Amino acid sequence: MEQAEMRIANELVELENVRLWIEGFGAAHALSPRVLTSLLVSFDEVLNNLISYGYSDQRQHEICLRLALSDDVVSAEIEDDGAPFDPLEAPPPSLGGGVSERPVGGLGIHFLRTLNDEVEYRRQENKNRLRFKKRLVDAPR
Amino acid sequence: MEILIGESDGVSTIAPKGRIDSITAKEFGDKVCALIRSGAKRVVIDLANIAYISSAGFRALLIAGKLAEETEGKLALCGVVGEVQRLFDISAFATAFNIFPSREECIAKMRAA
Repeated sequence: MEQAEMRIANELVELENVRLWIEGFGAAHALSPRVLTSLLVSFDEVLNNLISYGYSDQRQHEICLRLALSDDVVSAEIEDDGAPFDPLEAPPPSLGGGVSERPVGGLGIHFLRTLNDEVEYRRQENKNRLRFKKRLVDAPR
Repeated sequence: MEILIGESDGVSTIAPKGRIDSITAKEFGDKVCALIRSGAKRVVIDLANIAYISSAGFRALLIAGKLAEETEGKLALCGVVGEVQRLFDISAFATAFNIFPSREECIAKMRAA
């Protein structure tokens, strides 16, 4: 299994480093655009939300990111000491209607849940552990 | 982020390049809204050179779309293909916006509108 780990501070400027790290992992393992997009969007959604809303103090915090590739699945993990937040408990967003009716927001968690094949959340030792997995090849329907 | 802005026969075109995520969405959204506020009534956003759009990007598009409606302008999109198309489908924005296959078609429809 191929693994990679990255530690970042809870600052939005880190998101660019995260993107480059994911793209590097994707290039090294020849991930398809579909899998790569799922990873890039999922990390963007979770980290932007966490860094913007997950901390009530002004101190610097560390966020640990992991990627692992097996034969048929890429697994991602985000571990942080921010406020407890289980994205799986968020209500589904309102997706209907035209531009004027649609509310702004709620889409990030929808992307996380829809783009990945599995999403798992645990609160352990005062940390959020979010794991999401994407199959390399879509299962036949 | 690189954003090309042009105009042809009263139709303004905006073509961003790269990705519209939480890093670039604000700059992109501000550019589109500034264009609409400056009086552009027919705006085409060409997404052909965009690799992916995260929720921050869709938020920017939605805000621009609402502003266009408020100012009685028209906004349409083109170049929605590949991964961007998939994200439009998942977010159900494919049906919320006017989307045309090519920039030429988009501009022609906007001229007629």
